[in-house]
This record gives sequence, structure tokens and C-alpha cells, in this order.
Amino acid sequence: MLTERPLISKRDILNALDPTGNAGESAFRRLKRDGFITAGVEVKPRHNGHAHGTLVMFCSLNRDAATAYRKDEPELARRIATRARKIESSKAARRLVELLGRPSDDEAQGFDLDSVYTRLLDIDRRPADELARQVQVARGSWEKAFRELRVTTIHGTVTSLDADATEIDSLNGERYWLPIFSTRNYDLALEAALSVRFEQLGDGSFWTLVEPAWSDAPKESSWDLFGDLRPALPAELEKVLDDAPPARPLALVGPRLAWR
Amino acid sequence: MERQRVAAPTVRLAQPADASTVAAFRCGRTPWYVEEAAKVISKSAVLLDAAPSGLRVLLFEHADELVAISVLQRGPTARTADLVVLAIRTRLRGAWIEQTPERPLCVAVLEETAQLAAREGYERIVAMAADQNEKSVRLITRAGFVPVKRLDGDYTLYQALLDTTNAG
Repeated sequence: MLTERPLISKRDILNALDPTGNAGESAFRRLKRDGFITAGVEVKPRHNGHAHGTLVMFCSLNRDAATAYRKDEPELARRIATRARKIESSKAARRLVELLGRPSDDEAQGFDLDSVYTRLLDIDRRPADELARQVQVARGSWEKAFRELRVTTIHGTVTSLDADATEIDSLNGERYWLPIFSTRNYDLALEAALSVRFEQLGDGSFWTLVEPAWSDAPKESSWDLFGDLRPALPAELEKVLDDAPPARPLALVGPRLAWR
Repeated sequence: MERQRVAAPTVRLAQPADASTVAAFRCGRTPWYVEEAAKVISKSAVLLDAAPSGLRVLLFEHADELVAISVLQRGPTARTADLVVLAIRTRLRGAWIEQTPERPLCVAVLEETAQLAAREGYERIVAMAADQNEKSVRLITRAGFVPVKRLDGDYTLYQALLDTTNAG
């Protein structure tokens, strides 16, 4: 299953507010002050025992809220922001902030949204999976309204790449070709999961936003009935156990309990 | 502080009809690793109906009260059992069993579960415990589990050998 990434940056929200890229800090402050977008969640990355600035991330529903605001739908924008606020204060969001705030051996430089996703995949992706699920459920509530605003989002995987276009097979079975300029910011490879937002602008042109998609956790081991609820066990568990330091026999010393 | 003591519970394997009892079992909601254990127990209640081979849900009961649960599943091969969860009813956490010699209820639950794994022919048993869950880490390492590998999400994988010749 593919979804949009659950967290976005301030720049992403500003781009949704003005696809020409001219929206600035004051517009952002105004939106936030008037409740059209959320305050985001703060992460204070630590490296070698020192805090290195603050990264503020926003629930990706804020992009919908900013789009709705630009499309002159302030009530819809507020409704979306309320939902985004709830997601940002959820247990999954708090856990994610706690994980990302832990000391890391990674270089402090370059701690941006992409490195956040990389780090989450490395340490524990489950809070991000939960946020992505909540975002997807919430988005279903205004899907129709967004269709009327001529904004659609598709998710799919790259099936071919050439000098002119990127071909994507979407989850709904349709095939899309994106001009190469819309994907040139990403180092794409075949099978890469993408999220593509198409918006029909008033002048008849299209705004296309391409981003890496968030994909479900790899399928758990077929034998592990609880693989969806706990960390994945090593793929070759038996070999890992065999190669580990010698195990000891379990000390079973107490009297047996009665069975019935 | 005086120890809470309980009579020795009896043990039995859960059947599909026990699904609601297992689902109603409460072992706490915080911190996060307790909540994760509770989710595993809820899922095991759901799985009871399908009765997948290799799943064993052990119910520890006293006077018609479910005092503890442990869940065991078959690993990737018939050599390895996976101790998925071991949980004590919230109000009985830290309780000891009135037996000679006395021992903590959680130790008895762990030992009985391991005995079952040994009886079923498994040569070793694995368990994962959250590093922050100091009580569980202490319980399993004192029993003989040794760390194998750090896993995602602050968990560590442990293993121990089972004595299949003396499992009774």
C-alpha cells in the first residue's frame, strides 16, 4: 500500500499556498495565526550529546489545508487543520518526536525531512506508519471536495524512465507519463514509489507535484503471526541464532504447575 | 513492603471458546511496551478462532480468574520456539506464588511456558524485550536468555536453549 508521506516541511505548505513559489514567511504566519494550518511538531536532533537546532515538521494534511485556503474554501481549510492538529498531538506523533530526538551518530548536518524518513526506516518506522494511516483515513473525508476543486493525488511505482518521461503504474491500475522536468529533483529508480498530485489551475494549466511516497512495511515473515505488531525479526533467524554467542540452557528450577 | 502472595495457578491451553476471555485480559496500558504487549494478546485472541498450527496460548488461572497469559509460536523451523508475550494481570504484578520454594508468578509462567516448548520438541526459545522494560529483561536474562541482536524499535532479541530430554 502506498500513501503520501505523513510529514511535510514549511516549504511544502508554502508551495501549496502559492505554486509559483512566491508565498513567504508572513503568509505562513498569517495562516497559522488564523488556524488554517497547524503549529507542527518540533524535533531537536542531538549529535555527540549536543542539540543541533530544531526541525519543525507538519502533518501532510496541512498541504490540503493550504490548497483549500488558496481555492477560497476557508471552512474546509479550518476543518482539515483541526484534523491535522489532532494527528500532530497523537500518541504516534509524540513517539516519533521522542525517537528522532534521541542522540544519533549521524552527521548533524543535513538533518532535513528526507533524513528524517531515512532515520525512521532505520530505527522504528511504526509511528510513521501509524501517522500515514491516520492521514489517509482523514483525507477520505474531503476527497470529494478536492475532486470538485480539481485536485487529485495518485500513488504508484516507476515502471520506466527515459530522457523525456517517467512512466508510473498507479494503484488504481492506470498508467501515467510525467514529463522529465517534473521529476528531475529526485534520483528516481525503477520500482521507486511515488506520490503525484495533479491540480488543474484556473488558467487551464496543470500543477504537478511529485514526491516519494510512503510505502507499507515490508511483508512480515510468513511464519510470524504477530509480525505486524512488533519489530521484524531477522530474515534468516535460524542463521542469526546459530551465529550468535553460545546460548545457555534455560534454568527451569521451580515446581511444575498443575495442568488441566 | 510485604510481598503479595497468590495460590499456585493451574495452566491450560486456550481454545477458540476462550477468545473473549483472552481479549478481556488486562495487563496495563502504559508504558508503550506494555501497550504493545496488550495488542499482541488481543491479536492472539483473534487468532484462537483460526487455530493456526504452532500457536499456543497458555492460560494461567486461579479460582476462575485469569491471572497470566503467555503466547508461544513456532519459529521459522521446528527447532525454534518464539515466546511472543508473557503478561501478568495488572493487580498481580510482582506477586509471588505460595509454593515451596516461593517464586515470583512471572517466573513460574516463564518456566511453565518453556517447559511446554521443550515438551513440543523445540531445541531453543527466542524472545524479544524492550530495552526499557527492565523487569522483563531481568526476568529472562536471570532465567538464562542471552542477547542475540538489537532489533528495531528499542527491542533486543534473546535466545536460550531448551532441555528436551528432561521436559517431563
